[in-house]
Amino acid sequence: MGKIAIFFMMGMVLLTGMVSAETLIICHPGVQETTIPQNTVRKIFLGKTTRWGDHSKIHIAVLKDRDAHALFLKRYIRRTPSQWRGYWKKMVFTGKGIMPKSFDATGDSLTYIAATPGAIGYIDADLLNDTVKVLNIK
Amino acid sequence: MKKYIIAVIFICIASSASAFDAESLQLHGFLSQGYLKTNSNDALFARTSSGGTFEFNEFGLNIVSQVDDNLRVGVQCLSRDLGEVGNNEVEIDWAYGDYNYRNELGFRAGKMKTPYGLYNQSRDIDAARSSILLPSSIYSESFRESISTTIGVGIYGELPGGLEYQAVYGTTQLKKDEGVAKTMSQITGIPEFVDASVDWAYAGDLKWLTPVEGLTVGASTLGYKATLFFEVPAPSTFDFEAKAYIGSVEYICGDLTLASEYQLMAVDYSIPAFHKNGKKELEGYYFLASYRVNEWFEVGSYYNIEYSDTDDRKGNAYRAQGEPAAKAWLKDLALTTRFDVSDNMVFKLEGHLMDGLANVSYDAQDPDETWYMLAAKVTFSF
Repeated sequence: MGKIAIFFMMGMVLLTGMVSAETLIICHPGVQETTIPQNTVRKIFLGKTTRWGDHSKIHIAVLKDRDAHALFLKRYIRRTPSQWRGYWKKMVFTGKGIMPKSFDATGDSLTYIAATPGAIGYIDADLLNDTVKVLNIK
Repeated sequence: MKKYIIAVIFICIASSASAFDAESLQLHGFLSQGYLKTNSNDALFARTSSGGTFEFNEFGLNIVSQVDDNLRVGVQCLSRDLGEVGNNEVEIDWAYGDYNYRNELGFRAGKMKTPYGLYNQSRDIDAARSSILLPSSIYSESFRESISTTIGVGIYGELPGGLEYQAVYGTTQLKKDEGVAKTMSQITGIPEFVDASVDWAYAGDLKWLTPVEGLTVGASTLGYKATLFFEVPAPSTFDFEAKAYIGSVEYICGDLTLASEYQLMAVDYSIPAFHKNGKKELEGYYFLASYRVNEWFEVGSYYNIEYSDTDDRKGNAYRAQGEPAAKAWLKDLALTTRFDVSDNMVFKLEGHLMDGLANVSYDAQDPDETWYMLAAKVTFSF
């Protein structure tokens, strides 16, 4: 019974570790907002909201990593990767938007967001550093 | 000459970008090749019966430059073929500047995709939707060239409460030998038009992203005033004014998408030389559902109904003229599949069970009111 309990607990820890990698919404440190509604996050990444509160331009950064991107889409955008691709193809082929900048490496995304005024992106909480600002999502 | 103009526009936009990086300058394109086959009757201006047709494609290439934080300019060239329409002539699909300095207000000028209903602006983009053919009650091939783009000016933005708006005013495209002319030829009996012109055109679209997550409700309108010129039986004009209204609902919940739209279109026309005028009111609606089973497979279905005259949904007038009553309607039950072979390649296959002969070429000796259509299409995009 004890072995089963330990095995079960180890399984829970592993499972928790797999899903607890929290995805944070980050932005350039100069962005005035500290808290934004989840609906606004969705509208920003869908290219509907293109300006911050001070009317400065929003620059979107996404990751090419399929798992990280899918996790972010599910958590914040409520879309699947295929829906996301279809949506942005619509934007691009109607001239209503340009494809968000996408990065192979999280480090490159961090560097871009830290260096680009108005930039917004997302990151696994474990990889966060102090060059960017974390936005609180309500 | 047109090819040179297009090349110059591309070069101008390319040179306007301060640097060739993904954020200031982007080049994208798509190639779609399809196949259509019906068991009887010819549909969509193509010879779809007998051996079917491969005259069903779209090729597009665009270049867009984000000139600065406020201004974006771009152009897309499109070549398409659908039976007798398009014939792969290269045209400027859209070319406009977009100046945006507030979420609430942006300006556009040039040739723009007309905002109308849920899918009119993206109807050329096969990769962006579940089915190959959009429901014809709203996205009819008969009026496609006239409601596809507007050349003029536009405003757009988002308003408090989840509202989004778009409005355009200017003129639109009308050709002497494409969908509108062919449809008007059927209505009036005038065998051929030799020229076409548009006086004005407008469109407006309002969408409400409701507090219910994934639920969007919309309303759209468009209109235009135009003239078709003919020589036979006597030189004269066919003047008409078209006005249309759509109510739309779309609900996206995870992998499930549900949508429905209703349209009413009125066409007032006159032929001064014949002292003839009249009004036709067309009606249509559809219900659509699609479900993404996994990353590479999606299945969908829609039921589409359209009537060519709301005063005669049963086709009594056609019957009285000795024609099939079924010319008054077209009902389409579609089953669609989509296979995402990769991020840049999509294959689709769908079947349509049709009831009716509206906008269909049929054998007058033996009209077949119930018929089938198969459509297949492969699309590459980058």
